[in-house]
Amino acid sequence: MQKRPRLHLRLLAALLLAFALVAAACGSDDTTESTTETDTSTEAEATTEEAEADDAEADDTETADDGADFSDLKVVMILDGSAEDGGWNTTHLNSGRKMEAAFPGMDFSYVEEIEPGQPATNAFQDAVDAGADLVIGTTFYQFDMIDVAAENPDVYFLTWAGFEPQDNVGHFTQATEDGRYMDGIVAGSLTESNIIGYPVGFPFEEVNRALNAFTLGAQEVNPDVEVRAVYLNTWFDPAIEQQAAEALANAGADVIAHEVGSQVYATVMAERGGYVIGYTNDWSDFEPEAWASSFLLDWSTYYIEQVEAILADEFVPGNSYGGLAEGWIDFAPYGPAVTDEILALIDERKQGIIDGTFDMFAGPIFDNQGNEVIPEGETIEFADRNACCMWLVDGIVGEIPAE
Amino acid sequence: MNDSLLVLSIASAVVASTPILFAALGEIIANRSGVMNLGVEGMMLVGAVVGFWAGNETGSLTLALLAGGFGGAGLALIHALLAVTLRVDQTVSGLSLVIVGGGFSSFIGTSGEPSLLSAPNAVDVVPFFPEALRDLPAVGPILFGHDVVVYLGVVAVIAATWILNRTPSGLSLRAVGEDPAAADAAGIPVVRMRYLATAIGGIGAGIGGAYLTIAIVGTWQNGLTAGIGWIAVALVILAGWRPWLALIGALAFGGLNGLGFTLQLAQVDVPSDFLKMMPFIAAYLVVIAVSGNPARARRLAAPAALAQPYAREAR
Repeated sequence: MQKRPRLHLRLLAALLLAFALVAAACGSDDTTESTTETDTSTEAEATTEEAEADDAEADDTETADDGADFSDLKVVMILDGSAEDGGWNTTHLNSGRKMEAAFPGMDFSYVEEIEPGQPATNAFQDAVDAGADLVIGTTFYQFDMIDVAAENPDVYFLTWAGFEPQDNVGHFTQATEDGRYMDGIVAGSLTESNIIGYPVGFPFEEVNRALNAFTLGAQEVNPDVEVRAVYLNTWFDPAIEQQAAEALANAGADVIAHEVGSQVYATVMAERGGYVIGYTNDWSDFEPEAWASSFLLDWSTYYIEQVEAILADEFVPGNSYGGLAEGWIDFAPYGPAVTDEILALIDERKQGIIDGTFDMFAGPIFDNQGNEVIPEGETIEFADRNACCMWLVDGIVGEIPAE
Repeated sequence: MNDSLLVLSIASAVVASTPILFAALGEIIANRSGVMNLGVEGMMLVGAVVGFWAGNETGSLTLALLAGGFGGAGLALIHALLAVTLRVDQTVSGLSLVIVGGGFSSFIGTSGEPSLLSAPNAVDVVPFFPEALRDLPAVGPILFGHDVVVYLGVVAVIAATWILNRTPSGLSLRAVGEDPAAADAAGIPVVRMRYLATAIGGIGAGIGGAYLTIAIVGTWQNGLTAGIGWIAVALVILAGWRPWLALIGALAFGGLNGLGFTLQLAQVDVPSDFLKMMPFIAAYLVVIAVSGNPARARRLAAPAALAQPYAREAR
């Protein structure tokens, strides 16, 4: 019996494979009008999509002068993950759409799943080649786009968390602590065991600063509170997150404040009758009984300001650092367990930060090794906070892992 | 005692080992027939998204796991077509499967309206044993505190061992994996056997993925296996293609992830990167140990015809 595969079988296989690859390569709702090359990334999932204007149009509070037409203005956003991750990248895209709505006719598009490294360099170059006036990068792309920016002085760039100065590049970082302090107040008021779990991604300054602010907030309403920090060394791994959540709950935590990551913390806390505090996500509909709070980010203020500056030929290079006062921080709806008293305190603190009458980092502040890190009468100036912290405040049980 | 950190850590390790175990068992069956399928990660992802979707539609754990198994098997059959019938390099085909599976699962999961992202879990996962047993000191939470799927994993180990060692079909399967030419001469349908075994491999991975998303994580997330499929591949080598050893290995690896946090909470600083490497280092060590010792090699070595395409006329 001849067992050699016949031609049509090979053809079928080739077709099947081709079909599978196409399915893998197509994002959710591709439209025909692609503005950027799709070979910007080695990732098969990378797609180029014309951003939809529908969502943005609903939110036209910041629309510029009627009748103005910005169709000459081309803005490309480069996302490091999926536009539909429901967190970091979705937030950036929504902010981009607000910007789009503020400048009617603006040609706004995005590419997603662009990993830092060569794929990012290609994506920035492609965006420039496609005629972009402004390219926005949503993660630490600085070293991937630094040459592209240097070679194209007429194009403007905004990229998250950079520090090498370039005349046509703006860097932006969020003052997470402004939001995290409020989340800490909520957590401190809700815990009955006085143990709060805080799974952390990587031991970066920004991450530690948020953790410190959170703990200070929790201590304001509950001086006995203990914040248990565990470093996961991953931004996203639901199975590991689940085990971290279980481990924290087993150690007595009845409130978990997570960082980036998945909804598994909410699942675990809902099962145990505890509460979950999100991170830049409004997940109040998911396990609503367990939901407590989350600060949110809104980059549109910064984007819109910079576009206006570009139009006026007054672009602001260098690092911009923004929190509550700058309008970069917002809050998701609070959960049903948060009392009115706590909500009033949060409003007071928010107003205090905006007015400059409240300073969460006012000394004396001790770290959890017993050192006085901020002496009495001193603080960390707002502009310097970006560089803080490689220490954890007293009350945090956990250590920054050695490099 | 039942809320001591040690007992709870072991109990959660048992749950965490279950998806690894199902995926590894499936891969053992596929490998024992001579088909190497490195696409476990991709098959788990497809199993996860299909399983979660089915669970959401029906609310039934059984249907969700079945659907997950079918999803994994569907992807596995692409591999079978390429590796068995068309005889392409199995490593290349398996690796492609990871990418295809990842992309396909992401496509299905995010394209619906509303998408599966942040969809609530409609499946109730309940403990299998009555409360009286679950409340026994120490053994209650560790042995009796779990859902039915955990115990099905043990049943699957027993079944796989029995089928491989005690039944004519198991013997045929192993013969195909050791010496397909001889098996062919003995009248065993080599191609059909390999297709079947590859599909079973996909079912195992698919069930593992579905269980992971429904029972452990509780939501569907893009790329949620985050490397568990690769741990299963390493585990198969580590276990010397023996189901019982895979069970022990899965428990160890399931515990390893959680161990990092338990140690951190106990103020012992062990780099979690190091713990993440452990499964793969362990697999290396076993391969090295086996390679130097012929007696051990015979018991724990790979099937002789593993990853070798079989062409009757090429003999």
